[in-house]
Amino acid sequence: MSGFSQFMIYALTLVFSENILFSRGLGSDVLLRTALNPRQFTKMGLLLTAYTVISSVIGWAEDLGMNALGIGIGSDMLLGRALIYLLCLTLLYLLSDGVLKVYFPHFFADVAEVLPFSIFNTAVLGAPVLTARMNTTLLSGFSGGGFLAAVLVGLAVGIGFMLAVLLMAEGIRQIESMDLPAAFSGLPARLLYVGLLAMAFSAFSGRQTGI
Amino acid sequence: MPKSENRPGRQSGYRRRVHSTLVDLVVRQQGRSEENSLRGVARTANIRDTLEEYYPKQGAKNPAQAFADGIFGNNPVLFNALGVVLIVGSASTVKNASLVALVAGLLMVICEFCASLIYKRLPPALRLACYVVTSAAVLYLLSLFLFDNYSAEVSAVGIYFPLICVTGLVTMRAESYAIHNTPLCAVADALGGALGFGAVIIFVGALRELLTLGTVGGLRLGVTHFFPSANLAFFTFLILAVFCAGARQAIAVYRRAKRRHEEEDKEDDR
Repeated sequence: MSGFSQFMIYALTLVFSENILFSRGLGSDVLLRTALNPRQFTKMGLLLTAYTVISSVIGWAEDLGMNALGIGIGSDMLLGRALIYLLCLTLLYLLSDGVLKVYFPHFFADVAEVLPFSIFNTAVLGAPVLTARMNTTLLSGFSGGGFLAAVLVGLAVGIGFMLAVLLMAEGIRQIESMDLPAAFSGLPARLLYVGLLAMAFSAFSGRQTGI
Repeated sequence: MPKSENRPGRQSGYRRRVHSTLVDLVVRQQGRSEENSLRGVARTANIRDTLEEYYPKQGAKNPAQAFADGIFGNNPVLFNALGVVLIVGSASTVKNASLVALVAGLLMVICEFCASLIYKRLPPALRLACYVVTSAAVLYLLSLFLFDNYSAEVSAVGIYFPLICVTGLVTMRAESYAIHNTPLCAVADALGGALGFGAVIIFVGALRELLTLGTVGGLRLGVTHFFPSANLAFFTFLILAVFCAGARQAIAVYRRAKRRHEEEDKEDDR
């Protein structure tokens, strides 16, 4: 099997069977809270996909630098790398906020509510950490080069999250028109819905034990 | 609208429920004002959520009340969906859950204190960046100690360990409560929230450990049938949903009983 086919299968796995929300819960806290306003879903999903791609590229650049310095990937290094990703994301957030506010004020007014949580969430930070941990050989072996691979991984994670967002949006629309017991309305119903979807997605991956 | 859609048999379930609720209201509760009726329709047909339970902007103004609210009335996990990702990913055993609860609690206390004392004077964008950078710095310092003493537990928590910095537990709590209140109240809220979060994550950790390994905190309990899938994400979501519903019901019952008690006291006074 060619490197490209192998990579596309990996990307599809990230979208469906290893969807970061349903298999690892990454991004669930933001999604459950944003679920309060389903109109924000699309904006947030698109922004998050963009930032996941950027975050993966940052992760790739950092891995390149650290590999050049001969620093390996142990648990302590994983934490160090994650904290460096985090600082980069903070700078990216401040930059995005400043640039959008000054040069694209209308767009900024549209996305101001969801911008902070599109960057500072566990999906955007978790994607490059997860990729660095699971998949360094696949990235380096990809014929298009590590950079392109990082972009595609970021895109796959983002699209997987978008899929989760769309499923949530539809589910919440249905849930809100149901006559549920008072104790289950709102957050508990959403958690149940995510749980049932996660159960279905875990059947895709065929996994039976641990995250 | 076509005539056939007006017939109850052809209407969607949602419309039928709203229609029947309206009829009930008109027939049984004619004495109510229009405003109350509309509120009743919304409540019965479940059109909207109780939004006020999310993002409590001001919250309690006294430290004791803030502490109690953090544990019960405004538990970060059960009422605000904060830190769900940490519970899903890291609460596989009691030890892992306790480690995450302690670290998250410490970060919450430090961030809320700093937010209430200093960061509230900053513009919102910079404030959010400050929460994240502060928690990353504290986590780095903590990790120097933790890697020496609890390296196995930290490795078991894996990628979820650095994610504590960006969960809403730290940022949302500081932004929604700490910046509007005094440092004492903010610390009380953070301690209450940390205890509330800790209780939930440790309970889920214990349950998952019991179902997957047959132990709780390393103690074997003689369980012979295991359920390894309890370590998957879906189990935690489902369990949290049940906890969440249980907590809401308990608080609703408590508030109802308290209101009834107050009314009885008033009648006795008369």
